[in-house]
Amino acid sequence: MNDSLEYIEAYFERELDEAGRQQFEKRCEQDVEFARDVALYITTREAMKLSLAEQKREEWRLLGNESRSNLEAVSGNTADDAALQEEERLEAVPQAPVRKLAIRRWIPYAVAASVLLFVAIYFTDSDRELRKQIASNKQEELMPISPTMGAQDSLEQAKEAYNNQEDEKALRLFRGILQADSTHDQALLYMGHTFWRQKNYDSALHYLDKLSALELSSNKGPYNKALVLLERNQLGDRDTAKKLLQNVVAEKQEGYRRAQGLLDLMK
Amino acid sequence: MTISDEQMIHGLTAGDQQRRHYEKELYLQYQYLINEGSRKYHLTHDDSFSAYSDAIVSVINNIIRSSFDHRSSIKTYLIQIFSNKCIDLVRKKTTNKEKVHHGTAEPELLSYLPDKAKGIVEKMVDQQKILAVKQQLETMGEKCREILLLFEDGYTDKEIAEQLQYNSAAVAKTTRLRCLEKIKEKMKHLFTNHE
Repeated sequence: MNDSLEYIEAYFERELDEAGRQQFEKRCEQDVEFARDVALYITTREAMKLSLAEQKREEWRLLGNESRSNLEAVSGNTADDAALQEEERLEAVPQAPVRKLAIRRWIPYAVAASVLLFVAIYFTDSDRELRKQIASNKQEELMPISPTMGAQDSLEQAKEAYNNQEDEKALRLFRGILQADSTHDQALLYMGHTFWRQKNYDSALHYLDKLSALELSSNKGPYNKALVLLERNQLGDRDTAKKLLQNVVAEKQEGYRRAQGLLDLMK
Repeated sequence: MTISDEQMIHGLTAGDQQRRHYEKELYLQYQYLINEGSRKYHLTHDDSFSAYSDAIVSVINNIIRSSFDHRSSIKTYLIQIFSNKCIDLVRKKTTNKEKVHHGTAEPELLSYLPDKAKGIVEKMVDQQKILAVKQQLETMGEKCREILLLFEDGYTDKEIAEQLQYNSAAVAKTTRLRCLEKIKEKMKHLFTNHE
């Protein structure tokens, strides 16, 4: 059997001589069984190509996110901020020389500044508390997964990879499970967790969204999604997270007590 | 720092870790094309990203398999492939044939066969079967998957043996063929039931 595969492979790897190639091609025309083997080989190689492309795409998506985060970390700005600043710089109108202000005109500015400072300190403190709570809740959510005793399937392998912090492997295995069953709640949750652990928020939210859309008696999707949004903290994230948490509490979904704790800190 | 074409080609054909490094560099060097693709062809960021990733894969494959003819720079070559992929996506969307035609590009290996043989084999290959085999591949053991994907990625059996610590290229090849054989055993019903 291997001889046959090896022979087929030799043809496509262009290892056969001219006579060998012609013989191979004749067999394809005359021997249906052989033609089927060739078709299966081509199908398998094409499937491998698709899988490989998916794997690379995922690696590069992470790479792209990583390089963007690094740029943002260096500049202290988001990419959008940087683009905006660049636009502003290009469109900037030459400014008039700054005039000196009279002392009296300083007073309202000083008062406004003091108020702003007070507000900033107040919010920074409460924000710090909220961030601490989010980090702690995240830690609880991303705890190692308990194995199912006796089971040896791909879900178990995926859980093991997840617990061993082998993210790429875990993602691949969970993805395999989802390809067989796109509504596999555990695979969706752990895909989300793995991406969250990597701070790949967009992908994490993608899977948690899918999980949230499932009708389950107990669904961790909305609570986890709210946590991811709070950690990402982009424009509008906090409001969306708040609504999700309110919903989790109202419907007593999974994580509702912790959701309430977060809502208290967000007041 | 921009990497020159010469350095890039040398790095991509050097194998193993060097190749991985240069694949990433190539991806990063031109990733601004993703935004340009979105803007120029009105694609979503995700679609433009997919087109860009696929274009990078093609460029790498062509460089590794020496089919890059050096008539243009890597950048021009990449832009050509990327633009074609974007246009394909736009066509699929605008002609509303996505459902019918998704991923229907002819498998590359079919083109190796002369017309008559190709005509016979082609009838037995279709997208559904490819997806079914892909699904089977996803559920295989990690070792098999890894060795098969490395081969598909253009690594030789010798390089695979080094990376996966097999005793020799021959052992790697036997293991790889055994994995292919497993797939064949599980999927051969697809090629016999309906014909």
